[in-house]
Amino acid sequence: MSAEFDSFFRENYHLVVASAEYRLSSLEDAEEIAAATFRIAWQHHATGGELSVPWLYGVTRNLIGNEYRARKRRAALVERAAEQVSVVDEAAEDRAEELRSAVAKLPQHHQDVLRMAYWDDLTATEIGAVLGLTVPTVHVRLFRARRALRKALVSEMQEVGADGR
Amino acid sequence: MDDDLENEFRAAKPGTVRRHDPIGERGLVLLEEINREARTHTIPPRRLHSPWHAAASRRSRQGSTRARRTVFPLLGGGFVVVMVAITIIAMNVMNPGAAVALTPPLLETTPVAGEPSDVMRELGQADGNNGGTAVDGNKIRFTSWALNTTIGEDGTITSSAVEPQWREVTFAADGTTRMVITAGTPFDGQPTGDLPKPGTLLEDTTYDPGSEEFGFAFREEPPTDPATVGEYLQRAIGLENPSLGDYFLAVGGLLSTRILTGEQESALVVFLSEQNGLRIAGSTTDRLGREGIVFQASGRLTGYQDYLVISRSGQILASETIYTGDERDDIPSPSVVEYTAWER
Repeated sequence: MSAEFDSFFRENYHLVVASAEYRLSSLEDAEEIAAATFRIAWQHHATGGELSVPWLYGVTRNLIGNEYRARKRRAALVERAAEQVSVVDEAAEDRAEELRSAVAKLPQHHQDVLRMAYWDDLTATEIGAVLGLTVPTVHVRLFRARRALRKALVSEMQEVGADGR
Repeated sequence: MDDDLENEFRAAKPGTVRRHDPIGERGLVLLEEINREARTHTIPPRRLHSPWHAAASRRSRQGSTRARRTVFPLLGGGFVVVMVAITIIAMNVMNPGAAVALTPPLLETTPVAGEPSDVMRELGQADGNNGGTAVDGNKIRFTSWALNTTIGEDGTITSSAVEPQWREVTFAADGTTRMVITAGTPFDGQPTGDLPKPGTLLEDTTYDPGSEEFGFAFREEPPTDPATVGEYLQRAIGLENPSLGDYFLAVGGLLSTRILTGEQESALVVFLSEQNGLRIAGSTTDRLGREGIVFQASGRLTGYQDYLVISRSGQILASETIYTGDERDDIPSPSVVEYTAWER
């Protein structure tokens, strides 16, 4: 194994696990996604492919997508996933739930950049490479997504206020 | 997002692991497993010589296919099955099905003689560039377009062409900045069914003086000395060793957020002319019908090329980014993925 792959693995193993864990609500499944992702990464590297974070992130997202589809085919796993989601949500603080709920109501493109920036800890350059955007465009999208989140939070508070009256 | 909300949102991430956590036992075990598999089934790693150039990339891949054909018969059948299975999985994962989005036509160019650096320097020093970038005294106006790409939670990549947008930025005497965005005219051949009519107001925002949400990266006054332009742009974009493509993009960002004097614009062009890797794509008529010379840069993103169109009088007219890679299947290669044309 090359030193380049070894270093790439060590630097990015937790990027894959963290990204998969919150999407699948399971650390165990996330580690399985990481194992599959890095085996593909090794095969890619061994046949001359360039290793990069955007490439790795894309493979991870696609494997997660495969897992979603597999779960849909396996009703038992869907139930299990739902139970795990509810466990995570019940354990979370109210504010975190409020934020997650507000983000989930935003348009998909706002959700994407917010999660990439703050949950996956990708840099603007990496987000740009994943989405095919320039760095200034990523910054603009982040500004707009943050603004949309602020508005959604204000709106949610007003709804709560109205319900309480 | 203010710092508190930003921190709260980071903390609201479900799960227990973060990207920069130190690697643990499970990760090290997996690394050792892959290491063991690699030792058992040795395929020598090779690097692509030119990740920026699609043709070089394709040539290298053809070479790697030939290499695999000679390697496979030398290995055990079981390994062949494993490798083929992994390859099929990898190809499926790396190339999810996606609809091909329509993108604007490429600019047509005709060859231009001369060394790129000499040609660009002459444009930067042209006498005609003394008017600055403002229109109507205190405004900048430009048309921009960017491919809208989304990666869904199920991993599906979707890209859709959106309408070009016309923007007017007004710098008022009280320090506020007003940005008005309206729908522009769709490019030739673009389906217009779901697009707003040209001229439809999309956004009208006024930013307070010094607002971080508009032009914050370029808050310092741009230099008039080419020797200090590099440092200025590096501070603005926060990269220690920008590529020429990064500089092209930074210049575009600057033109979209500040009014420049002719002297400042000249310094930018002369600075760019002194950078390694500059190429000329040819002369062209840009998307607003103006004559200019197209300069090309790479190095910002693998598989993408950045361009600036500069007039004979040294005015930066337009920027373009073109995808030239071979890993996306949501758009053809080459495809325009972003452009901006400033009114001058």
